[in-house]
Amino acid sequence: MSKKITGQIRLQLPAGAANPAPPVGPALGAQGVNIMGFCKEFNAKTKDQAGMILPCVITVYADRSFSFILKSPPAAVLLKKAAGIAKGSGVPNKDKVGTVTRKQILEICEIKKADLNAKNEDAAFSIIAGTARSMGLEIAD
Amino acid sequence: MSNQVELRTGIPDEMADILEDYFCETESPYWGIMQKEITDPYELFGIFPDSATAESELVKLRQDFKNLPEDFELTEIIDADWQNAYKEFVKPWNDRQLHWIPLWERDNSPPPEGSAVVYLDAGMAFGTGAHETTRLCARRLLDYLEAQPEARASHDVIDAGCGSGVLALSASALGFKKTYAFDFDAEAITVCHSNSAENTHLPKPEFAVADLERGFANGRQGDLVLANIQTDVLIPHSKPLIHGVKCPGTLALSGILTKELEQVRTHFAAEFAAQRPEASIEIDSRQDGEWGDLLFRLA
Repeated sequence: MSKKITGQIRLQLPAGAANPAPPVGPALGAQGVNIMGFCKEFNAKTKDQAGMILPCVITVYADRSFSFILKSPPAAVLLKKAAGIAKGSGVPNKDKVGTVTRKQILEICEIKKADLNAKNEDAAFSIIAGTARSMGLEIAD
Repeated sequence: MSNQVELRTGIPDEMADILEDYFCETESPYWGIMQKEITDPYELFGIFPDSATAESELVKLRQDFKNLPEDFELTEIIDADWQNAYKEFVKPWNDRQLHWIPLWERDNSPPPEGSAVVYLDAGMAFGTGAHETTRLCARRLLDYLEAQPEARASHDVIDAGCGSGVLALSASALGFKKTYAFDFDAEAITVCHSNSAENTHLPKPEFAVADLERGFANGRQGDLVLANIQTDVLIPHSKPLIHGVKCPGTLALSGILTKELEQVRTHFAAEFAAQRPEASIEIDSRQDGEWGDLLFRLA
């Protein structure tokens, strides 16, 4: 029989480096979750993505045990990282702030493929390339 | 203790995903989204070091989300409340004669006569004893004694990466004469000393702040070495761990995700062959949920 779910918490946490400081401690502690147990599991499962902030959905069960799923970071975050920029352009059609290559976009498509509502690779490419342009990024071969 | 403040408000379902992406993109260290009960509507919450930060972060958020609800509830969060909330759900545990009893259950859960008992409060260190990896290690400790009951009189146990000290104190409770435990986290060693002070019926293990290199410095070796540490630390530090085991002796590695067991087994088997060619190695492994252990027996 599956366990009874009580609540759900969504946080964005640094891969491999979650700790009991707020908001993790208060948010999970108030739900009765073993905070260090969560940090240990999260860090073990995300250590190979160090440097990324990952969306994490934590499900809390009636016995206060927990499970969590990791989502891929938003495309904009991955594009900024690929282009090496801190911020997108305020006027993307005029002010270009950086460049991403087609290869980098394909890599982002691969990371995001579970979350993208795309029929095929071309459609996924169009979505990510669209996001890149809306941030003021140019696409190079 | 420092107190933080929390802002909280209900949000429509359709805002949850949008805000989640926004917080991730802005790398917000404050905000999150929650359903206290799975049937409840979503709530946006933020936890801040003080009211001024809460106010300025809310202003920033409103600039990007004009349709945020007006009514945010502001409450003070007391550290002790959230740090202690998990206690309600940490229960006494035992395997064979070894009993782990949370301090706050001490009067309610008297162990059977003749038990090896450890009282503990993990606080903010790893090791409430509730985690699968700690229990896997405890089973190895008990198996070791079952296989050679005379070991307790003369064998040394080393608990590498000891967290709250639960395994080291368990070794003491089971009658091992000498237990050395270390962790690189000074906070963990403070918790070890405090747990040891709650277990005055046990010989006190030697606790030290040390990483894996310094913990095994000066040729320190144990008959039984326990390392409940995750894979990304175990693999690069395999050398001190391997040299830290006597021959004959036993190394128990826990804290390994089941999907990483083969990687750790292969690495350590090769390193044992290279660094301890005099020893024959027998390897065993167990799993508990998503976690596993590896036992290397040197003869």
